[in-house]
Amino acid sequence: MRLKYGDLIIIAVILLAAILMIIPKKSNGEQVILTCDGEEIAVFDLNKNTEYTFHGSYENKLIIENGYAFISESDCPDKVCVRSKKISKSGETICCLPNKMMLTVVSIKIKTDVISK
Amino acid sequence: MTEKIAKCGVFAAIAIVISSLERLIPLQAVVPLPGIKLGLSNCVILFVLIQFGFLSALSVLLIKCTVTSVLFSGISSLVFSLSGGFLALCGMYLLLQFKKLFSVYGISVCGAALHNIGQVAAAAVMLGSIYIFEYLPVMLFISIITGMITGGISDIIGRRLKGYRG
Repeated sequence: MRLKYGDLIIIAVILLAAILMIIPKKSNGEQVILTCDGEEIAVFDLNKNTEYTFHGSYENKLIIENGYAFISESDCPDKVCVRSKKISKSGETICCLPNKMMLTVVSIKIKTDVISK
Repeated sequence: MTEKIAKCGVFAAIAIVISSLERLIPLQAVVPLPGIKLGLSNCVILFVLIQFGFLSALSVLLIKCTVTSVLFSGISSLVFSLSGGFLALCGMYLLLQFKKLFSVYGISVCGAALHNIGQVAAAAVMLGSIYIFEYLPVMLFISIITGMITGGISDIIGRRLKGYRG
């Protein structure tokens, strides 16, 4: 190992950037938004237990249970969505890239047209 | 020139073999994040970049990404690996201009981090959402580790092939 000063700077900068991105505290989420290819498909209440199957190029089975949302089954090739952690805090996501499906937890749903008014 | 093309072809083949072997390492089972991998083929790209220059490394990268995505993961992953790979290559090329400051470890870590940033950015564009940047901090932490591993391998390769001139 022959590290030079610049290497330590690079590692420090990356660490700092990662820590800065984590720091903003997460609040508990209220709703889960399901999007496909950027388009909103459905909105779910996190406090209501539900099941929903999303049919895209593949099928993702979404389950909402005790304030947590997760994908229980999927026939996509990589299964990253099924292995992802359960989400409950605002900003947390589960995505299934093969299906272009994404779940996002939000605290209160803010409509974008309020801002652009 | 012809010799350079032939050698780049050989290195492209090595990169393809390495990244297909790398798929046997079940890193995604440990860290369930999309696109997590060791990035061992980055050693090859880095070696070509040092020995032959930017354009050769770019061509090896293009061949490697196209072939691996056609063979294994489908065309949609080509966007991710190309955007990440290209950003990483540009960053590593920049750092190579300051050889006194950076060793192969730093260059490799920077390449790994930029690869992840490029991938996440491509995913954000594809999914039309910025929330996917949520993954980035974890991926950056991991890229320091994987970057050090690939940097170590590049360091060993560099020392073994000290007399070698492309």
